[in-house]
Amino acid sequence: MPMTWIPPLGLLFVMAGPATAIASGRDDPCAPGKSVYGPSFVVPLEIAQGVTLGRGSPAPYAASIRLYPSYVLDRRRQVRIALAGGMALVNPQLEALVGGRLSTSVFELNLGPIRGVGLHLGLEGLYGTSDRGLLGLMLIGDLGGAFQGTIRTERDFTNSATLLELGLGFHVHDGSTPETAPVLPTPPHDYLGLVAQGMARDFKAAIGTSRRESVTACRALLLAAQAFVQPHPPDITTVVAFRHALTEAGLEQVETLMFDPDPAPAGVTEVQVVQALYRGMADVLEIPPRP
Amino acid sequence: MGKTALVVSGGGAKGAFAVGAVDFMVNTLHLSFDLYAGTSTGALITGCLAAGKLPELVTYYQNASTDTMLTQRAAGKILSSDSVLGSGPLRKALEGIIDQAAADLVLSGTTPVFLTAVNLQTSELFYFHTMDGAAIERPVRGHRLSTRDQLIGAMLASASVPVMMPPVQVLAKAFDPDFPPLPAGSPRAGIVPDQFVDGGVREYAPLKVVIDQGATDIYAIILSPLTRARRNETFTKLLGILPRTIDALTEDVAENDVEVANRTNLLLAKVAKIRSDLIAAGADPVLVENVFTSAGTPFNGKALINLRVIVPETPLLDGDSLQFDTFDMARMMNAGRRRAKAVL
Repeated sequence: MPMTWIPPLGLLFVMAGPATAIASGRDDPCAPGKSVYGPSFVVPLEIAQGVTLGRGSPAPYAASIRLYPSYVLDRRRQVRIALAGGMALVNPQLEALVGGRLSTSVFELNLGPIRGVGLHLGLEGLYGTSDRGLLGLMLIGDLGGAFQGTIRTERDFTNSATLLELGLGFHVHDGSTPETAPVLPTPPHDYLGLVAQGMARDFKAAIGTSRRESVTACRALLLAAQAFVQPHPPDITTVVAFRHALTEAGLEQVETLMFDPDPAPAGVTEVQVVQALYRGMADVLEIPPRP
Repeated sequence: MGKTALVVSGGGAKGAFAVGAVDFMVNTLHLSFDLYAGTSTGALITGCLAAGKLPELVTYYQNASTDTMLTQRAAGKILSSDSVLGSGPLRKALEGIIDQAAADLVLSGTTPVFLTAVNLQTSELFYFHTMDGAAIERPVRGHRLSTRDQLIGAMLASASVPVMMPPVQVLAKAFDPDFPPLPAGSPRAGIVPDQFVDGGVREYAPLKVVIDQGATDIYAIILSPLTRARRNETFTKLLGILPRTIDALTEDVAENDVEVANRTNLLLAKVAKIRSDLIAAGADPVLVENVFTSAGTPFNGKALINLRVIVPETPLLDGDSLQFDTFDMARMMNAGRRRAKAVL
């Protein structure tokens, strides 16, 4: 394998790590409310031209056309991972390019529900068919989720040259469709399921309330809740004791907002009710229920 | 005997407050209703209640995020589109909740439901409903729903905030005032099907329609405070003034709707007082009774209305009511339960 492939392939390997982590993660519930509308898949097409600089640059003019099928991993932060493919005229050879790009939003202005202006920082690794390895850093301006402008610097490891390019593009596919059915949990119909659902509602309500106070207060609440749900104190067997334990754990806000479960039907013990309350909180925190 | 009705106003994401209140009323207080009426998010809620789908409704609202309701469109597409946002996920969710059996239950009219919408072609207020022989007077129009598609369409239309969400063609053909059936050779045959949008444009809380159907016990859930809250800020941006103006218009429509019930009560009390005064002054009771119960007498057969209004004490949301955040939804559901507990 030519040495020039190593930087872009290395970059793709490095990109896979954070991308996987972000994809498996979830939105920060304490982050200030921000639009999370938007497509999960977009395909920008970009035409760019510029110059090559450095000792391996017999011809200064460079141009390229690139397509970026992009999957949006995290809509709140607009983290996108894309395949990159296209044609480039460099030094002064025409060749095909293939690789990948990872980008994230550094600035976003949304006009309510209308997509406004965004600025993204991107990192790109490409392989050219003439054994060229390219590693690029770019700023991408996004207008209304429809048009984009790019300023890019790219290191050509084959020719020890640097490319500077300006690009203009538009979204060939803007992800507006299809409007798919939402995936929702199955509603509980049994008593204990309803108890867990009610506790989840009240716990989420406490998170929503604390978030209005401050992000710090919200994060403190979540940390206290995680500590509260993880251990398994065997002495908490009644709803009253559960309420008391919430207060002891610094979760007064949850205790205040919590509704007592409706009276249990015959055959359901209070210990089971308490376990359902714990399960409701664990569901919100997306941690496994206590044994 | 008077009927018990539940009326839910419009309010977008604030509907979570109503869902919390209804969940408490039905599951904790074991209240039941003979009649439902709703506007916008209230139409989604009352439609699901009439279908016996309270658990599904609670789960949907408690886990709602914007993309389980709406889709965003690229700026370039908005100019050539009928709305800023798409409502595909909401329609799909309704189709999932209102299956054929649930739709049949609603359409049977066992527990009638009235869903408000505004006709874009005629700008008339419409009640899509499931009550045979419903009392609906001009200038308001009524249409008895007969299929699942119409029911889902009417719920979606009632919630479709104009400009933000697409209008809905609830009926396959142009609305015919003589429906059913569409007479052969009707001058309206061949006219494009009517499009319907959010009923909140003209009626925020459909109280009058349930009074007209004989409701005497009315539980009304209104999603904006009825008292004016002073905002101690100078509005310097267009995007701040516009929603504030819409709030003012909404509050005005809401106050007028509640005022209908209050004025009806005032007039009924006055009529009862006149009757008793006449009898006390020596008038023949039979004659008085005949005069006040003769055909065409206003408020004939109407009883005093017991109106219980469940309304938040402070505004539920600071911003856009078409942004659905799962933690805010839970907060508002909790607030709705709390308010229902306090009022009832």
